[in-house]
Amino acid sequence: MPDARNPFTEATLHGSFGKAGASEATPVEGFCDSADGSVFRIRFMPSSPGDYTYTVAYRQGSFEMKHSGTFRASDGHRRGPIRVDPKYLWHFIWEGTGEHYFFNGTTAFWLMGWREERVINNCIERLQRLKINRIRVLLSGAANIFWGEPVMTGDNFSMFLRPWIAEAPQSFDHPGIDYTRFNVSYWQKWERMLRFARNRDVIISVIQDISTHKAQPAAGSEDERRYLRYAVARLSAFSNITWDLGDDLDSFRDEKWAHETGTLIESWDPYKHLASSHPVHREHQDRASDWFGFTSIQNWSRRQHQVKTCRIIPQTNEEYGYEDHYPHWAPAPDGDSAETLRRMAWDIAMAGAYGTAGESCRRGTNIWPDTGGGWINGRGDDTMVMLKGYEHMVDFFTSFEWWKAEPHDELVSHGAYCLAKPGEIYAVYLPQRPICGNSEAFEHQKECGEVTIKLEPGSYEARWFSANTGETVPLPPVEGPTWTLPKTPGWLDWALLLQKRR
Amino acid sequence: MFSRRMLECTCLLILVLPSALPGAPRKVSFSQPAGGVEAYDFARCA
Repeated sequence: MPDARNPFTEATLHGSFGKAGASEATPVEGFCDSADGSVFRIRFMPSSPGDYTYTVAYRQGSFEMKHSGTFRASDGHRRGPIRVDPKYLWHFIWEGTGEHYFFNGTTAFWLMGWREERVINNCIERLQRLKINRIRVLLSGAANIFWGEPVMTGDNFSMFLRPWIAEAPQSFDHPGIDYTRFNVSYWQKWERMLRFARNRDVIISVIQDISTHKAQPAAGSEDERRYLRYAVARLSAFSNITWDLGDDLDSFRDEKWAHETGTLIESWDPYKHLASSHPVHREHQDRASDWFGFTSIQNWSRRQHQVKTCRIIPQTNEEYGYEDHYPHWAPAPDGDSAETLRRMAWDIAMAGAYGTAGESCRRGTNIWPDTGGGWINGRGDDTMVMLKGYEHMVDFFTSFEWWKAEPHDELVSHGAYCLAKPGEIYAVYLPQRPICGNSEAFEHQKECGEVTIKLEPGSYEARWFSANTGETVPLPPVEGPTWTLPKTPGWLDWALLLQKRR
Repeated sequence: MFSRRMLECTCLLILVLPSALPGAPRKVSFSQPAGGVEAYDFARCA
C-alpha cells in the first residue's frame, strides 16, 4: 500500500522527453492521479513525428526510482495548439497545420457544473455545429448569485466547481476545502471534456477562478502555486487549451500577482500555450510581458470598432455582451439582443480583432422549459439563434485571407468600415444602412450618403454578402482608383468583398 | 479510460515491497501503453 501521508505534497514525478538521438529534451512534470497516491501519471505531447525517448523519476522523501522508455509519434495531421502567427501578429494559427484560426468564442463558465457528461458533450457539439471554436470554462469557481437569470442548482447541475477535496463542496460560505489534496475525479472529468473538445478542434480557455466567491487559496500562497502547477501538469499535454489567469481578475488579484503568476505558468508549461488574463478594466493587463499571448479584454461599448489597444498581439474582447442580459453597467439601450450582439461582433471583426459572446440563459436551467443555461453553463436549444447569426460572419471572413487585411477605414466614406490589403483585398462593412431610410434618424445623416472606396489601380472581383442571412450576390468586376458602391441588395447590414482578379 | 492513441506515460506506482529507505514506498512499477501516438496527441506513462 502507498505510504505517503499526502501524495500531492510528499511525492513528485518528473520526466524528460526528447527526440531519439537529439541532445535537447523537454522537462515535464507528472501528477498524482489517485487520492491514496497509488497512481501517478506523466504525459508528453510530441509536436512532430518521430522516435522519442524519455526518462522519468519518482521521488518520495529520499527515495528515488527512475525509468526509461521509448515511443514513436506518427503524423496524424492534427491541428495542435493555437499560436500567434509569426508573420501576421494580430492573428492566430494552428501550429500543426499552419491554417489560420478565426477565433469565434462563447462563454460557458459553469460547463463543468453539469453532473452528466453527456450534457457537457452535447453542449460542446451544439456549439461546434454553430462554428464556435473557443469556449471559456472555469476550472474552479462558485457563485450564489445568478445575475437575475433563470438558472438554479439541482441534482443535475451545480454552481460549485471544486478541484480540491472539500468537507461540504456544495456550501458557498463554508465548503471546508483542503487545498493540499486534489479532487481527482473532478480533474479526470475535466480531461474527458478537454479530449472531447480537442477531437472537434474546439479550444478551451482554462479559467483558473472567478471573482464571485472567496473559497480560493490565498494569493501567491503555496496552496495556490500547487493548484496552478497541478493544472499545468495535468492539462498542458492537451493541445486545445489556452490559459486564463482569472475572470474579472482585477477584482481578486492585483497586477503584480498577474505578472508573477503568468510568468510562472509559462515557465511550468512545456508547450507554452497562449495565456491571457481577463480583468474588468483592460488597462490591468500585463501586455508587455512575454507570458502574455493575447488580450482578453471586456468592453461593453456599443462602438466596438473604436476600441484600440497597443502591443501587436491578437486582440480579443471576451466580454462585450450576453444575449438577453442586462448588466447595470452596460450602455443604453439596456438590452443585448441577439441582433445587437451580432452587429457588435462585426464591429470587432472589422477592426481586425476577435470576440467572445454569451448566449441567452432564458431557456432555463432547472426552471421550465429547462433546456438552456447559455452563457452560464453552455447548454442551449434550437430556439437560441444568436450564434446562427455569427455563423455568417465566420463564413464571410474565412472566405478570404482575412489575416492579411488590416483596418483601413480611411479608404471608405460615410461610416463604412474597411479591412484591406491594398491592391489585393478590400472587405467593406456597412453597419448603418437600414437607418438611412428613416428620415427621423438625423444623427445618422452623415453616414447615409453614397459610400465610396479608394482602390489601388486594377480590376477586382466583387460580391455582396448579407451579414444577416449569409446570402451572396455577385457584382460585375470593379475598377479603381475610386468606386462608388451600388445600393445594397437588401436591408440591414451588408458586407462587400473585393479581391484582385487573377 | 484512455484511448490507445494516447501514449500517456502513467508511472503507476504500486507500493508493496519493503524499502531500504525511511519513508519510501514499498514498490514502484512503471507502465506504458502499447502502441504509438500521433503528433499533438500525448504520450503517457503511469
